[in-house]
Amino acid sequence: MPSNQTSKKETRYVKTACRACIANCGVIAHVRDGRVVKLEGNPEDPMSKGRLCAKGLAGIQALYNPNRIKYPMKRIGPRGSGQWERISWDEALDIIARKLMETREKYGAETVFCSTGGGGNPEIWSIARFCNIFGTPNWFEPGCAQCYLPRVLAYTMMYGGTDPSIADSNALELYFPEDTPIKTLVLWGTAPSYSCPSSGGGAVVDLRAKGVKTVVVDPRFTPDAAKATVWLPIRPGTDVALMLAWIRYIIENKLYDREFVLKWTNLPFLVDTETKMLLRDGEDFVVWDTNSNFPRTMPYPWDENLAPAMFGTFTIDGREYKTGFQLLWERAEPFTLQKAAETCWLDAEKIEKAIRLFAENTPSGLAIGVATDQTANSVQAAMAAATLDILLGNVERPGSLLQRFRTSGVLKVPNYPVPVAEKMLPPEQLKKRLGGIEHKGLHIWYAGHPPSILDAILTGKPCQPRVWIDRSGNKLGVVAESQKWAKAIEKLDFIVHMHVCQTSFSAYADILLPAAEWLETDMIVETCNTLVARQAVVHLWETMDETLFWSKLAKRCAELGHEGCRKSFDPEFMGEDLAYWDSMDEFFNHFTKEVGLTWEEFKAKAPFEYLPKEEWRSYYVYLEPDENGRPKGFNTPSKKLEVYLESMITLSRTGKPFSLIELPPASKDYEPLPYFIEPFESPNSELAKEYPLVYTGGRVPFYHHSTGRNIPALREIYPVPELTIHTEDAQKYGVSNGDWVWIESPRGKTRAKARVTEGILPGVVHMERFWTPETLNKDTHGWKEMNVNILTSASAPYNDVVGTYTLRGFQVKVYKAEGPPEGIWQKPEEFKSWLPLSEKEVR
Amino acid sequence: MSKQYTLVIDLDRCIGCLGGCRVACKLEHGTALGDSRSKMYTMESGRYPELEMYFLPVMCQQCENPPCVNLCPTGACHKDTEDGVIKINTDRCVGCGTCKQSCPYGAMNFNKEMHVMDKCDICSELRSKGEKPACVKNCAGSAIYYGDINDPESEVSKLIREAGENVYSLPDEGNKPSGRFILRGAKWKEEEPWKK
Amino acid sequence: MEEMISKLKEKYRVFAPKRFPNGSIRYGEIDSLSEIVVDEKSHFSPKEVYLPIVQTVFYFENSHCAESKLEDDREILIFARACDINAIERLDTIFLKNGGNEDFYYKRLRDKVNFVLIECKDSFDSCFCVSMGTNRTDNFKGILRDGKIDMESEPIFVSENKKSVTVPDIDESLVKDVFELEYWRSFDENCAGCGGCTAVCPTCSCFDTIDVIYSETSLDGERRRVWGSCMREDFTAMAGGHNVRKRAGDRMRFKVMHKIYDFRQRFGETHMCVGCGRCGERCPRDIRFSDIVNTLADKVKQLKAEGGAGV
Repeated sequence: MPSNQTSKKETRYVKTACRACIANCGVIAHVRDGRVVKLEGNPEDPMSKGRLCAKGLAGIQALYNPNRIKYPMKRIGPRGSGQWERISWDEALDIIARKLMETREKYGAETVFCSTGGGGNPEIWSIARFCNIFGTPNWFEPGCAQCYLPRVLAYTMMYGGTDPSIADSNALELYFPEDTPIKTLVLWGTAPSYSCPSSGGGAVVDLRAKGVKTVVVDPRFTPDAAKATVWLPIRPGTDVALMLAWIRYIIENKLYDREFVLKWTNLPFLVDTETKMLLRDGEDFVVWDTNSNFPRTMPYPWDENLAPAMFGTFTIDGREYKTGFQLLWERAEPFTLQKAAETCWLDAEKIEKAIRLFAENTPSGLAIGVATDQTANSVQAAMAAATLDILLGNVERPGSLLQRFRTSGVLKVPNYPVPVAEKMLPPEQLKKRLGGIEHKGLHIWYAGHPPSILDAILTGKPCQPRVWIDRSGNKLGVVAESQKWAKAIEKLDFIVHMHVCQTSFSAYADILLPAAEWLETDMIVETCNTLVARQAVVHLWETMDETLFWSKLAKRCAELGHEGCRKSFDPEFMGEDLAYWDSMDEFFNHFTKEVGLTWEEFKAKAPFEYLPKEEWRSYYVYLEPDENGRPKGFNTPSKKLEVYLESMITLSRTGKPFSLIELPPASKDYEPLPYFIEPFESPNSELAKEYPLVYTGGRVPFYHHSTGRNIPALREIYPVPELTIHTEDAQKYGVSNGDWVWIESPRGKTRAKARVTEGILPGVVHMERFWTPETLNKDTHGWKEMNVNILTSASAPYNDVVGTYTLRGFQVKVYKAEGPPEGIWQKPEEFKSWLPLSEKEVR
Repeated sequence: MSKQYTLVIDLDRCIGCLGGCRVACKLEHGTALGDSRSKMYTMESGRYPELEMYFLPVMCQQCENPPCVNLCPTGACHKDTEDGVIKINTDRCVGCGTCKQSCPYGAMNFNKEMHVMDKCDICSELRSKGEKPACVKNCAGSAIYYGDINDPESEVSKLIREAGENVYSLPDEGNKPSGRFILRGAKWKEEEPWKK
Repeated sequence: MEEMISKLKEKYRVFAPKRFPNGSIRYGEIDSLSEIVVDEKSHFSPKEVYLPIVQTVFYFENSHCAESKLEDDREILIFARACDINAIERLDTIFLKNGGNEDFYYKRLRDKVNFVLIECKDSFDSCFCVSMGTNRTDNFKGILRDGKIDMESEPIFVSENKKSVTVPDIDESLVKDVFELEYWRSFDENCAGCGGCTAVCPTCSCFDTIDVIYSETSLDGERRRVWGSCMREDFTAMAGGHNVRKRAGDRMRFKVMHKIYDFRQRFGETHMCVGCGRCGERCPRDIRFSDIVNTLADKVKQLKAEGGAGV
């Protein structure tokens, strides 16, 4: 009689991988009678080692969430009224394709733009591919220049190997605590305990347990900061100043690896101080030989007979030259410990202690996170961080984070399989990439510049974007200056939102499409020397893997006469870029054949090692011989580590090497060396009189970007965003722990619940992004109540290279509020209505 | 000597992520919203910038002289003779809450749906199938260990020996908690936030 | 002996005091007479056999309701001592002869109950059945003797306890003064309010009616009766927050009066307490009912002597 009787049905175990965030931790899903009943970590995953965080564990509540979009839907009634009617996929695809074709015909393909996001289930290159094939250069994600791209760019250009981002599943050396010799780990603007607890977070725990010392640069007293040997609570936005101080100290005290810097970086090369370009002799570069006191060509890789000067200013044929190292020194020289302490609000002694640990307790490594990606100084911070590891020779040695370990060869593009098909985008369209001329760094990801797109919508210049297809979570929760975007939306003709659940953004859409949750999708995941399959455990309603959606959309466009889309289905024409696929199985078979398997076989076998660990962990790749017997060197033009990044100049002037064609120059050359700029909204400015506190953002371990706010088990832990504020500031501004407060910037204000603590740099406040599904159908659509992105800035100044806008390091004020915003849920029981739908209800 | 299964938690490893000990536990046992068999306390001390912080997950301390067992009117709350773990026989539990009142650590919950008491039993059911408790399995810091603390060769006993003087237990009011915490990287705080 | 009991079990579910792994002696189903613990008093009474601790009244599923059914058709055979057999008669009064209706859920189990007498050679230290007049009974089908069920012999009953209890003779005019005795305050700090005494008592009958749902999102569940206890703090908690017996001493007074005054006052003849002594054994604070009653007897005597002034 009681319906809670346990059934004796068989349990099926599916080895899959999570996608509650980008860490892709291995998961074992328990399935009974077609229903996912339990999730746990898979110990076969070498990065997560069987651990699984709150977000992944709550996957069942995401999968069976009552808020799921189940079927394609078309808007009836006015935008924002929340009235939808169900339509078929065929109908939806037809409506969208027709709109795209019509818009392309009347206004040009570039007036169609797409977007994706990092939160939950993205296959980022699907969007880039579709846009290239459709012919629009304009797609963006709110991350990109504000998240990861600056680091990818800098490390790709300077080193050509992987960047040391823990949250993006790099820094693979960290996952071998049993035998890695690393002794000091610097966590710069990254909190693995918050961003990737089960993978990177757990790895750092293991390393600390075996005695590895850590330095944490973070204004928040995170769990990693609490367990660090040295905590540097830095003023947000001043990281480059601190990095330059580190560089200066290392150079002045000769802590750098002289041999390595001489032989394997381009710092000894001579630079024309007027043109800023390296002096060349054919393909080779020139050094100042101190033996002969004369400039000499340095053949690759090295000439024993030469003794290049590290530093110096020289005249050759009436022109002035300095070594790259000299220029780096001059750039860093003003940043003494005292200056850094003053600028960054730190203690000079602690800074010194940190540098000494990093430079002397070696091998060491510097992991840099997203914090520095979120201000106008983004790319420069990544350059400076790379410089630090390079100066110490922390490259491709046992214990280094900068490595080029072997790969399976299954994934050709970084991290995701979908081939981008760059060549499909007509050159004249590429030139129309909004923001693409000024911010050439974006081309490494083929992406557009969000504020430029926003401005175009609002002003109609240089074109009037009309159609927006978004395949992500809640744009209004994560882009800077959400209110501006809300205005822009009103001007658009047609909006499509594809996601797992309705979010604030959906309220403004014309078509909703049901995206598959991670438990419903497939993916190939490469983790260390292991290949893991994310394999769909169940399939609900009419959800679709977005990677398939774009293919179907292209097909419909092809049927309506789009030539490029038609060709994209031709395997011969597409070649390595692959013809569009009719099923995900078909798609994955292309890649699994690299390891001699079909996708079915791969799923059955995974996880499996594609190489034994010892073989996979290849050190000193730069010393491996090339076909001529010379050392391979690094994946840079000079094959040396390009600390003096001359390619930045080329990039700004032409877009090479990342754009397929040469583009008109940016308004200014990009700088080959890192430089520090004070945040444009500075605590030292007039503005600070009214807005005295510095704002910073940063993750909490329960959510990934805009996702998870509809998951009861997570929401009851962190129901509303906290405004973390130091005890002294709280007192100054009349705020007590638990009070509701307003936080305001020149752009707007929003609310949060105060958490008063000693554990944050005084003068700085922190608040994480938030939106509320429970008020989705109110006027606010859930994005106004407690949304810190109302305060951030989408306006200039931007980072020069990639156009980063300002998400952290700007001025705010905090004061007590009457109470919480209306209609938000705070008590655990209030989230009951979002508990998983029963089996009957999902049929 | 009789067995005493208990949890030993390495607080240097715990990063307070609430994955294994909160979400995995909750979903394993169907704990309702608002409740949890384990509670997490953030233990902060010091003044900026000389600060210390550690996270303290508190579940049933599997006391050797448990007030909950001693006071349970119907004998529903009992100490299992096989493994020393304190369990609730829900056929005999009337949900009176005497155990909850008597627990010094707030480790006992009232399951309002089923009107019975609910607590950590170190995942008895999983252990009987040879599996690890849900929190142990999923903990991001691999901070939770379980085993027989009366067996000198058990993993937990070895850990405790290795940790020397860095082993702590929650305040003992005569109930003799068997749970242990290892903490080297910060000073152990005697505060009892669960009493608030 | 195995043969005898397996034959018995065809007709009866057989309950007797047995030892559980944690050392607790309470009533459970037995497979062999050798399991019966005779030399020690059981910690719990046989009450939980016919008045279960947790009992389902009906099941509901959405808007549909179905009454619970007994799972086992067999009769019930209980090995019990004279005090406990006398106790069931108190429960019969409360559930079947109280207010004109018979309690359906009590009756359907009670009608199946048959007893086999466990003889008490000497009484245990805490027993006071003789004082309560419950040391004898004739409500049994056989006697447990020498490991067998004896249908022939005459029973041997205890005629004297180590403890003797004087039940005060309280008439109605004294009740208010008894209520106001300072004596009850001595229990405010001492009594833990755990309800252990009422749980082991063979005559306590209070129960809560509760509805349970199987999970937070379930529309299915059951209505249940679960043992309640007047000794717990929330027993008299009411809507609005009022609680007339918030203090432990008030609750002790209530229980004592219930056992040695209220019951006889309402139903005549016997007291509710059968002198089994289990409550005192169970109490974590070692509060002995027999001592309370004796003390109360003294106080009542004093009251009578003084003509009722507050003592």
